[in-house]
Amino acid sequence: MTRACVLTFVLSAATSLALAQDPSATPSPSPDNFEEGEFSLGVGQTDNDTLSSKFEEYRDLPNGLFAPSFKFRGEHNGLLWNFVGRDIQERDQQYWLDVRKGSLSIEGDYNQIPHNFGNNGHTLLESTSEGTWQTTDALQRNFQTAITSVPQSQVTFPFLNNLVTPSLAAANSVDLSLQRERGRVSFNVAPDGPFEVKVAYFRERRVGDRAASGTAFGFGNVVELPEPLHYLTQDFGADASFSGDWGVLRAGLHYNWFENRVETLAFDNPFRITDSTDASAYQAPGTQSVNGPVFGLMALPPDNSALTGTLGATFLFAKRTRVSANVSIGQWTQDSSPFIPYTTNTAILGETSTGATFPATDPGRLPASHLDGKMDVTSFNLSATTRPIDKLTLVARGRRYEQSNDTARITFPGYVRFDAVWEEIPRINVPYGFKNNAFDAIASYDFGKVTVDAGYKHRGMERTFRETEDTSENTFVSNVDVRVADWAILRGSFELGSRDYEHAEMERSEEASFVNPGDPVNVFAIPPPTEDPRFATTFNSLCGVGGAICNLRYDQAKKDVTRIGAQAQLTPTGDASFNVAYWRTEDDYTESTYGLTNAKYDTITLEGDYTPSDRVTVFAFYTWEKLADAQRGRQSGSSISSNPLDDWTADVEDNVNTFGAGGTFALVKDEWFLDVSGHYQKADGNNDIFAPPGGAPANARTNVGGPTDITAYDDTKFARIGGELRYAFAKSWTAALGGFFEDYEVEDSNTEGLSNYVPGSFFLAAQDADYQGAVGYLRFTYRW
Amino acid sequence: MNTPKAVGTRRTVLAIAALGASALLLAMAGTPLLANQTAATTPTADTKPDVKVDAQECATCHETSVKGSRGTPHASLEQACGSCHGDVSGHLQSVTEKGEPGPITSLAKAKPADVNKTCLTCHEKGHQSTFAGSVHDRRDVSCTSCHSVHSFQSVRNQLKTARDQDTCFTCHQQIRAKGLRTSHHPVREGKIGCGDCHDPHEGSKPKMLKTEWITETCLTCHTEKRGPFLWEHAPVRENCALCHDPHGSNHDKLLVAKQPFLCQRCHLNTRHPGTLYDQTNTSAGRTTGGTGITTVSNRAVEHACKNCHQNVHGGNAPSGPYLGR
Repeated sequence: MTRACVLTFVLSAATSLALAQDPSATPSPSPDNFEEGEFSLGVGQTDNDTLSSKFEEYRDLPNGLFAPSFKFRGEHNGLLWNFVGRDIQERDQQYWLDVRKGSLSIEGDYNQIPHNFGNNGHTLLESTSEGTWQTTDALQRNFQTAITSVPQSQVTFPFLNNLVTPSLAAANSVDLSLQRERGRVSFNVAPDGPFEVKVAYFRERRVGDRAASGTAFGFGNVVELPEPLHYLTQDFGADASFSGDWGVLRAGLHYNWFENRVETLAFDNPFRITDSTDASAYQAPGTQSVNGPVFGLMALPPDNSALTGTLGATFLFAKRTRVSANVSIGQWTQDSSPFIPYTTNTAILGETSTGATFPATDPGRLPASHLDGKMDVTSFNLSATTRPIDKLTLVARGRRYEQSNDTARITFPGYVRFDAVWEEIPRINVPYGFKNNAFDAIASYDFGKVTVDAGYKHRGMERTFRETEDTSENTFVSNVDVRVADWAILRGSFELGSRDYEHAEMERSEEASFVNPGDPVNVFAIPPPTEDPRFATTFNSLCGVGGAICNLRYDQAKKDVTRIGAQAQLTPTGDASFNVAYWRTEDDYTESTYGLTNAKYDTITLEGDYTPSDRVTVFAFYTWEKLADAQRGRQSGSSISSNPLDDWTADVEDNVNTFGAGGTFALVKDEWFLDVSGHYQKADGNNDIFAPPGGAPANARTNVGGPTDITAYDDTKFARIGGELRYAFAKSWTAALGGFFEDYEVEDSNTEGLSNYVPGSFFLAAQDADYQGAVGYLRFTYRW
Repeated sequence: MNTPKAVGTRRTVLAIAALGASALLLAMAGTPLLANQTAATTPTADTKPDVKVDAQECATCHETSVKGSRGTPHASLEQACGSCHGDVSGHLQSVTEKGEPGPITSLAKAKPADVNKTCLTCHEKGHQSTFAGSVHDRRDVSCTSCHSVHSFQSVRNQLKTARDQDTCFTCHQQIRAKGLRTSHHPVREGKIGCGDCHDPHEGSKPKMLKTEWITETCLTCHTEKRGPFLWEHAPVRENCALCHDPHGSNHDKLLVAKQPFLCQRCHLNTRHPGTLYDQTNTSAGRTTGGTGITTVSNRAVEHACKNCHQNVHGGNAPSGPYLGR
């Protein structure tokens, strides 16, 4: 079926329904002619004390004349319109339009979202065209000459650092930023009638550079670059419903397609002017090799599409009984983007399974020119709820969701690692898929002052090409609401669940992409002796002699789940309310000793607001959060270590405190108004590292006193205070003087103190950290 | 393996489904059900007014309320204020003769179940049709907890607050705290809202998501990650929330943990994936030995693992089984 056929069906259905609409079914609008609107204009000034992009991460702040908003609204003989705009002509401008008359309406919106990732990054390369980053031949020649003219043993980090530093001092500056421009328009037939038909079109364009693309030539030569984006996403579809006192029928059909106008990223290797290869080339430049390609090529996201049809119904019965069913059938495809060749390195020869060689740069030697990627996505929901007696509510829901990956499998005779060296390891792609089966049953009874919910949830997963075939999670849930008084509600929530697995075969996932699987090279692939006795020693060192499987990944491992919550909602007077809440979530991986073993999240919230008169409203809130994760690893050499002393643990704890307060005041009734608000958040993170003495992780750090905690793990402070004073100086005019101040500090262990060149890597080191920024403005608003 | 025949069959099913839906709706267009719809959208018998009172009469006393709903679909309801408030003529008579409210329905004072019953008389369609029995319904969240007919502040959906997140944060305070984290979606900037991912009326799907599965929600905006890809990353295919917290995080890209430790929860391979990285491997904590070689590791700074394994969401390069091309 062609795309045109699909659209024809949609349009014919929509048009037919519109024509079939009975005019008598539409409430006759009573004319209420009016027009009103407002328009604001102002002058503003923005100040940022650093080059950090964070201050304007998702926004465009005013400098000079600006138009913050307009609103036009009215009705004339039944034609209703509503047109609203914000941040006019700024990078974050946004508009909504709604026009309706009788049974027809048109809605539209347009939204620009800037995303500034970092400013003033430095790179030796420059963008010569969309998707191509190059440096000069002279620089490549100079660097190659330098690293090949000294004994290889001298190509150390100090040597390389001295070599590149002068060039980095004069490197190109690049800001990392992208812009989303999304528009949506929908044509609605009878939005208030029994038939509701909506035909909608959505279009989003994303253009810019994302931070950041890890374009590497191997372990020893990462060249971080902006990842170029030129995306277009479109969606066309129709939804229809027919409702009555018997229930609702729903149907929809959507076609969504993604196009990437830049499907590859080509990037120069600063250290090579000629192609070369050897077995260690992916560790160049360094003491092991100085070889590699002139440039590399990366595949960026390929075009894809999704076609989805839905059909559903809800039937209404007596005693507030509702039965709903919904079916969704879709297909996702990715079959039009051509594969890039194995490599760009002309010095590399590929090798077939018969030993014949071929130029690995020739895309014609690939076993396929593109992917025949297809996924069938199916969903079925069935739910029923009823109140057989006034105080009892029963709910039951079942669902099945499946992503069946029918992508064709392609066998490759080998691959080129980092454009540096041919690896004669035949590989085959793995089309992962899964099914989810879920069932919930909940009963709720209202005892008067107490309402009790109790129920059971089941979640089952069936996976293809994973270590476990099935996992099953069963949870008991309960909730108690106690209405202590008209002004006080206490709530307690409790969930207790556990997950288990069936049919674990540890090597299944790891070996799936190898045509000829070898011995496992991952702790999470070491099988128990009952599965393969050759690895008994290693397995026993992980899980103990006769122990259960302790090395399953955390998305499949056994776990106990606890969710506890207590909340008090108090409204002692009509003008004040308070809320106190505590929640705890814990996932305890009971049999896991490797990978994630425990994850906890605790939070306490206090909140209150007070409105003593129609001229004053104040509010305040406080939230305390504690996140705690525990994980264990094992350090290995060329094969998985069987020495428990090679283990290490990382226990992360984040404590986050958030305060906020504000108020709205009518200082002089109908004339002077004041709004103030502020908040402060402090996050304090620590990663507690431990490795036992005598093991590889500790031995590697004897000269620095052993493993060291990462103390400033993700420490952040963010404060904001703002306010606005408004004066209604005429019937239709308001003047406002306002602004805000923000202070942001971050110490992130991954980026703090990062320079443009560190061992094995060029980094952009774009600025997205600390700032103090302020905005002040004077705004006039005219209303009519 | 998906054969051309299987693909064709599936598309045929979709086409039949579309045609069937169209035919079904068209068939119903000719049924008496359509003509009965007016009755279905009028108030229930116990609230139905005997005499129609124009909204302008109500505005004599309730000017702000009537003006507040001006230009909305509610203002053009056939029974005007009586559509929701019941016997407004009796109310008018009682106020005039006795100075008492009389038989009027005040939704501000009504129990949540009664409020919802009133609103769902007309609105129990579309996704609101699964509201009954949802967690919001069971927790006594009423339509007027979030929406206002007479004094709404939002551009769309007649919410009590200008932005939908401020409505949601009334109860979901810990999500507000997460939204203030350094890594966040542009919710606090007002560029997207809770309603972009969640449908608070949807009672048939987990977490009240708008789509059938969490990854489908994320793919609404991040379509480039939909694939399918030549080289897939299994947890990415299954559930974005295994690695990301969409409400906010202290780590880059909304990650639930920092790289490389996040990746090491599943990848404790030989050599570099299983190696311990600590403070000395970071830029801030680097040490320099006698040869001038620093201990900073490109696997522990900036994007850590992703410095090389860039296409972690799925790759399409034949030489990218490790998602590095």
